Amino acid sequence: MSKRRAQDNAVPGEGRNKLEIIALGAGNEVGRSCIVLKYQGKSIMFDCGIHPGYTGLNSLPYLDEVDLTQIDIALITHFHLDHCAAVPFLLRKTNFKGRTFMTHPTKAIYHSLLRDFAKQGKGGVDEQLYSEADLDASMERIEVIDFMQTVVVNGIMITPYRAGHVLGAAMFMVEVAGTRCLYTGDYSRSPDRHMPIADVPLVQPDVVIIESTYGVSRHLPREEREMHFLQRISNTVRRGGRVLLPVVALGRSQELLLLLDEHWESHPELHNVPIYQSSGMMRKALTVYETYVEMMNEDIKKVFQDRNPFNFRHVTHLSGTQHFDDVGPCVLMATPSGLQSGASRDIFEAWCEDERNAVIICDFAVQGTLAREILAGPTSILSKTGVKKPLKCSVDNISFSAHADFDQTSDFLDRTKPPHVVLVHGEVTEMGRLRTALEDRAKLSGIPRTVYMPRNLQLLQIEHKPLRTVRVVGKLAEKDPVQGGLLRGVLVAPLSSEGTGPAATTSTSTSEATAAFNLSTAKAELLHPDDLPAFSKLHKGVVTQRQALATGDKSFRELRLALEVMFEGVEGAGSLPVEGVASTSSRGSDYPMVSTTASGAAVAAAVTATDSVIVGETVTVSYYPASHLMDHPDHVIVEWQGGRVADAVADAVVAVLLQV
Amino acid sequence: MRSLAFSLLRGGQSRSHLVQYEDFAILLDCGWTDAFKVDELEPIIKVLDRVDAVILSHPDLHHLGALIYLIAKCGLKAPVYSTLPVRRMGELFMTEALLAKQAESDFDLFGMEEVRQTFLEHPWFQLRYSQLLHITEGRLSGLQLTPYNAGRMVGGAIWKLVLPDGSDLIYALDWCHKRERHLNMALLSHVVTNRPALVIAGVAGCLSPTVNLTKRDTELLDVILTTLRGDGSVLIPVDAAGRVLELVLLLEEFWSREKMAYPVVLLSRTCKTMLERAQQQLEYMSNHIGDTFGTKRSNPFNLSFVKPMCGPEELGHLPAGPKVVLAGSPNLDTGFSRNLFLQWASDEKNTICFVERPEEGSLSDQILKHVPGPEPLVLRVERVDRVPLQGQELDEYMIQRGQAVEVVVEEEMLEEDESADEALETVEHSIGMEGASGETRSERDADVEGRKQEAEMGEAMMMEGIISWQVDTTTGTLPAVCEDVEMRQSMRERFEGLLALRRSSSLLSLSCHVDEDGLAVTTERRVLTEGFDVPQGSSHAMYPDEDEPMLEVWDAYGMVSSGIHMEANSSLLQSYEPALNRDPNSSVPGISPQHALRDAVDMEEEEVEPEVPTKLLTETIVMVLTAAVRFFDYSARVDARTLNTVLVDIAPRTLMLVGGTDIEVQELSRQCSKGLSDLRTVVLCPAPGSTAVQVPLPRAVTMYLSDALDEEVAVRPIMQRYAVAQLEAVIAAPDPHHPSFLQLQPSGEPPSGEDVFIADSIAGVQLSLVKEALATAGLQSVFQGRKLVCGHVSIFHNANDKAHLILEGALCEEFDKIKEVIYAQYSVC
Repeated sequence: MSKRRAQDNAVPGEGRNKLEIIALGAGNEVGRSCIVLKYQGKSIMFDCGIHPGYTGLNSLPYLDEVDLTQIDIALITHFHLDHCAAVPFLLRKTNFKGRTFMTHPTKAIYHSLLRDFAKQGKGGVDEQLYSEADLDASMERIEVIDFMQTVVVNGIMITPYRAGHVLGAAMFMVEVAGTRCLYTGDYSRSPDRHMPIADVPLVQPDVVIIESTYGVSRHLPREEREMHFLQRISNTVRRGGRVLLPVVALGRSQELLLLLDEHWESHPELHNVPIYQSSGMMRKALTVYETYVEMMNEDIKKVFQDRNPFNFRHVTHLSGTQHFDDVGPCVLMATPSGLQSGASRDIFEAWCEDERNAVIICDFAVQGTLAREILAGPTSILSKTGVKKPLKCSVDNISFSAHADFDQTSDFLDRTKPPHVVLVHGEVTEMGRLRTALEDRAKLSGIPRTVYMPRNLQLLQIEHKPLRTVRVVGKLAEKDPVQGGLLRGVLVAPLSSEGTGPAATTSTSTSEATAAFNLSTAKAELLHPDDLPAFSKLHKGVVTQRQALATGDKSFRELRLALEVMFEGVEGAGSLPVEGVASTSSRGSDYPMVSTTASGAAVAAAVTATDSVIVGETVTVSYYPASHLMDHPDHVIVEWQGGRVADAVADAVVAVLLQV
Repeated sequence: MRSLAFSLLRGGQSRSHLVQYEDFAILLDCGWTDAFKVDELEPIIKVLDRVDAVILSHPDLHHLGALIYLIAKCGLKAPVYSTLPVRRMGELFMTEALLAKQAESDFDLFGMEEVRQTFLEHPWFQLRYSQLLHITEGRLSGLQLTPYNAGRMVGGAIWKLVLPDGSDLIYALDWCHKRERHLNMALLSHVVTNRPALVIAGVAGCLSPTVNLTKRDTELLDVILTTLRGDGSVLIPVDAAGRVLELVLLLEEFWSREKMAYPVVLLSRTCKTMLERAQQQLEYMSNHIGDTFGTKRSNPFNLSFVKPMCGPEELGHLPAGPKVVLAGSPNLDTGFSRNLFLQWASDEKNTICFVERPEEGSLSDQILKHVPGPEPLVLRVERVDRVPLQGQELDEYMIQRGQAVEVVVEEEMLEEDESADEALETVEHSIGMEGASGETRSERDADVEGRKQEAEMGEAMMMEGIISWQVDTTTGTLPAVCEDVEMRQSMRERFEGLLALRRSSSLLSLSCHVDEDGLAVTTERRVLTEGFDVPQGSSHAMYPDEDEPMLEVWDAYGMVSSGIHMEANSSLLQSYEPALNRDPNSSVPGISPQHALRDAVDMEEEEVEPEVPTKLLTETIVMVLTAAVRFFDYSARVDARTLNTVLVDIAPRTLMLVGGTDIEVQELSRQCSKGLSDLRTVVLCPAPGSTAVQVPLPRAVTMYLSDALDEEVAVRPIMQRYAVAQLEAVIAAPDPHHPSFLQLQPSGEPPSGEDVFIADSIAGVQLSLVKEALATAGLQSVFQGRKLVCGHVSIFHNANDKAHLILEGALCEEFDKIKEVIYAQYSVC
C-alpha cells in the first residue's frame, strides 16, 4: 500500500535514465550556440548566442521550439556573440525563468560587448532584438561562478573548467543524478601569450558535447603561424601597403596585439609604421584583462610583475575610423571579423582596390560572411552600396582563432574518455569527417565511443545509467560486509537543493525538488532505524494505537479462550503464544492516560484493567468490566504499536473479538 | 571504530589545530602574534614532523603568522592549501609585520628572503571557493578539500574536509554572517548536506554586542567628521591587508559622496601593493563589487580619495592640519600606528578609533580597558628608534670592523676580491658617520618633528655617501683606521668608484676630485654645503619637485631660512637620518614607493646598499592620553545567537568549540548542548595544549545500488528535508565496471522488516501537520487541549516523547482512515 504511494512521488522508471539533447542552434552549423540538455526532469541550456550570418530574429536560436519555463539553468561559456548575444533576449523577451551563470570576466565583458551590439541594431535596418535597457536589466539576473567552483542548483551540480580560447571562457561540467555531461563551448588546448590551455577534468564525463569548428584540419604550430603572420605584415608595410586585420573585438585581438607589440618592440625599423586598433570597446575591456590577471597563464603573470603588458607600447587606440588619418603604411585592427558591416567593412572597401594592401583573416570565417567569400578568391566584391568593386589586395587566412584542431579534439577525448560524444558548432561536411575520424580512432584504441552530430532541433536520446552509491554507516556497517548477506535499513538522503555557491539563494520548492531527488549529489546513507538520530535529524517515531470495543456480555475468560483457539488455528501450534497477565503489564502502564476520550464509546484508561493478555508479543488486550462510576459498559482495549506485522495481528485480534 | 584525533595547539588569539586521521595529520592554521615569541610555537614544532598538509583559513598573523618560521627554521615541508587571496594577502601581512619589527628591533627570526621563499616557492595549492579538490596521491590520498567563503577577510575560508571514509569535517573559524561592503556573507549551513562528523567552530568574539552595520558606519563617520571639524586628526589602527579593505571602501565611498577636502591616508609599508592585489581579487569579493565592476568598469580599489602612503615621510608632504590616517598595526605595539599614536595621543583634539578587539596585553588593550574617569590615562610607553652609531660606540664598532677590514685589505692586495669591495664600502660609510659625532640627544629630539617633513628618501640615500664624506673632509680628520697610506689610497679609488656608481640624475653635476693626501675635496660639494642647502621637503638636491607641495615660506628674497641650514654642520646629515636608519632589509619608499615589496626583495638579492651600522635606542615616554578614544566593532565575527542557530541547524555529530575566551566557550557550549541534546551531539571544549581529543568516527562502507535495485527503491520526501526509503538488499560482488564498490541487489523476497516511523528529531511529530494532512484527506479535526480530536478518535503525544504518537478511539471507520493518513506521513517501508 505505502509502496504504491511512494512510487507516485518517485521518478517514473520509464525513460528515467534517458538523456535528451536538442540543439536549438549550432547543430551542424557555426553560430547561435544553444544546446538544451534534459535528464531526470532537469533541463539545462548551454549558451544562447546569435548567428553572425543572419540578422534580427533570424539570427536567434530556435528558442520557441522548447518550453523555456521548464529550463532550470542557462550556462554561458564565454563572451563571444555567437555564444552569449541572445542572453538578453532570453532573459527579457521570453518566459525563461531559470537562473543564468557566467564566469566573472565573461559577465564583465558581456555587458560592454552587447552594448555595442544593441546599438548597432538600432542604427541599421535590422530588427533590434533588445534595447540597452534590456541588457542592463539582464545583468541583474546573471549570476557569477568561478572556475573550478562547484555549485549545486536545484539538484544540478555545475563546475566550470578553464577552456583556454578567451579570457573567462569556461567548459561546463554538469552532473545530474550521478550522470555527468561536459559542454566544451569553444576551447583550445594550445597555449598562447596570455591564456592557459583548457583543463582536462579529473572526473570522467559520460557525455561530452564538443565543438568541431576546425573538423579534421590541423593548425600549424604556433611559431610557424606567427612567423607567417609577421612576415606578411612586414612585407606589406615595406612595399608601402596597409594591413587590415578584421577581428572579433575581444579574445584573439588581445593576443594579436600582444604579438604585434612584442614584434615592434624588437624591430625598431618598424617604429614609424603605426598599429591602430579601432574598437573603443577593446580599449575599455582592457581593464577587465588587467583585473583578471590571475586567470591567465603563468607567462603573462610574470610579465605583470614588471609592467602591464596590456599597456601596449606601439599601439594607437583610435576613437573611430572617421578620425583615422589614412596616410601611408599602417596596420589596422577593426571589427567585426566577418566584414559584414561596420568599421572593418568600411576600411576593407576603401583599401581593397590597391594591390599593395593586404587583408589577413585571423579568426574563423563563418559561412555567409564577406570574409568567407573573399577567401574563395573572387576578382570583385559587391560593396554595401551595391557597387561592384575589383578585389586586388592580397587576402590571407592565418588562423589565430583559439579553437581546437583535430589533434587537440581527439587528444582531449582520449583523455576524458566519454562513451558518448556529441558534435556541435561546426559545418556539416567538416563535422562528418571529424565524426568518422573520431570513431575510427576510438575503434583502433578500443575505447567505447559513440559520436553523434544532431541537426538543429533533432532530438538526440542517449541511454545512460549512472552509478548510485550509498554509504552504509553506523550499526549496519559494524560487521564486515559479506557477499550474500542481507542489509536492511532506511535510506536517507538530505534533500538539499540549496546552492552551495556564493551566489546561490534558496529558491527551491522542496516539494518539486523531490521529483528528481539525486542520490549521487545528496550523499545517500543507509542507516539502521536506531541510528537515525545519530546520523540524521530524524528520529524513529512510534505510533501507539488503542482501540476500544464493547464486548457485550462476554467475560474475559471467553474472550481469552477465543483468542487462544483462533491464533493457534491460524498460525499453527505454539507459534503465537497467548499468555495471560494478571494485571496491567508494565508495557501498558508506560503510557498513562490522563483523561477520557471525546467519544462515549472510548473509555477512560484510568480504570484499572482487571485482566490482560498479550498476543504475539505485539498486541495487548485489556478487559474492563462495566463501571457505573465511569459510566461505561464492559469492553476491551486493544493496544499495539503501529507497524506492518502488528497491524495485521491487531486486525486479526479485533476480528476474533468481534466474532466471539 | 576509527577515530580522529584533534589537538588544539595554540590558545589566545592565534589559531592552530592538528587533526590526525589514520596515517596522516593536517595542520589547520598556524597563527602567531606580532610579538613573535618562539617558545609559544613549541606545541606546533613538537608535532611538525607528522604534518602532511597545512590548511590556512585567513591571511592574517593569527592564522598564518608562524608559517614562515616553521618552513624556514623548523623544516616544515608539507604543502600549503589556501585560497589565492590568503596566499597573496598573507605575504603582505607578513611583510608588513617583518618590516615593522625590523625597524624597531634586531629581529632575526626570518627576513624578506624567507618571506619570499615561503609564499612564492614553497609547494602551495591555491583553491577557489567551492572548489572540490580530490587528492589522489600520497598519504592524503582520498581526502577531499573545499574552501567556502567565510567573509571577514578577502579569501577567508571555511574548510570542508571529506575524509577517505566519507566523513565530513568542517573547520569554521572567524567567519562573518553579515554581508559587508567588500565581502559576501558566509553561508555555513549551505556547506553541509549530511550531518558532519566533526565541526570545529570558532567562538572568538561571539559575545560582543551585536553590531548594526549601518549604525556603526554612521557613528564612525560622525566621529571622524566631528574630530576633523574640531581641527583634530583621526588615527585608525588597522591591519595590513584584511579588515582594512572594508574601512578603505567605507571612507572612499563617504569621501566621494560628501566631496570632503580633508586628506584621508592609508599608511602602511605595503599598502600600494595591497591595493593592487585587491584589484585583482574581485571574484573573491561581494556580488555588489563584481556587479559594479561589470557595469561601470570601475575597480572599487582604484582609490581616488584615500591616499595610500608607504611611510611617515610621505605623510609629511601633506599640509599640516586635520587628517584621517589608517595605519598599521591594530595593536599599537609596532608599526606606524604606534609612532603616530605617540605623536597624537596627547592632543585632546585628536581621536583614536579602534576598529577591532586588540590582543590581550597590547597597548591598544591597555587603552581600551581603561575606564574613563576624571583623571586622564597616563601611559608609560617605550619608544624604540633605530639610530646610526655615533661617537664612542662607532669608534668601537669601527675598531672591531676595522680589524676585519685590514685583514680583508691585505687579502685584497693579493687577489682582487669581491667581498673586500663590500667591506670597504662599508668602511667608507662608517667613516662618514664620524661627522655626526658632535650632536647631542637633545638636538635629535628637537629634530624629530622636522624629520617627518623630510625629503624623498631615495634622494637622501643618494646624497648620504657624499655628504657624510664631505663632512669628514671639512673637519679635516680621517678616522684612525685610515692612517695607513695604502689604505687611504685604496679608499680613494673606492670612493671614486662609488661615486661613479651612484651618480644619478641629480648628482650628475657632482664630480669628485681626490687630492694627493687622499682627502676628497670637490668644489661642487663645497658649494652644496656652504651656501646651497637642499630645501627641506624637496626631492631633488637642487631643484624642488614642482609636483610637491611647497611647504616653505617664501619672501621677497626667496625661501625663509632659519640660518641653520647655512652652516655646514651636522644637522644636514641628521636631517637625513631616517635614511640612515634604514635597515638594508627594509623597503625604501623613496626609491620606489609603488613596489615597496618588490624592491625590498630585490634589494636583498642585489645587495646594492651597504650596511649602515645602527643601534636601537629605547626610551620610556610618559604620556598623558588626552585624545578621545573610541571603539567601533569592525572585527566582523559571527555572534553567539547566529552561531548557535547555525550549529544546531547543521547538527554535527561532534562539535568542537575553540578560540575565544573561556566565558565565550562555556556560554556557547551551554547553548549548543541544549539545542543539540536530541541529536546525540557531543560538545567538546578542548583546552590549549591539552592532549589530543579522540573523536569517534562510525564505520562506513560505500556500496552501490544495482540497476534492478535502483528501479525498485521508491524514495519519498519527508519533513521537506530528507528523501527516505526502506531498503532491503543482498550484498553482491562488484561488477567489473565498478570494481571498487560492493553491489547491492534486490533480495527478491517480499520485505520482511517492520515499518519505520520517522519524525523530526527536534520538533517530533507536529500535530498541526497531522491536522493539515487529515484535512487534505477530507477529515476534519479540532484541537482539544493538547489533543487533536477527529470524530471518535483522538491523537496526542506521549508525555515524554514528541516522536511518539498515540492514536486512541473506538473501533470505527475513521480510525482506519486516520491511521492511513498518519502512516502516509511518517512511515517508510
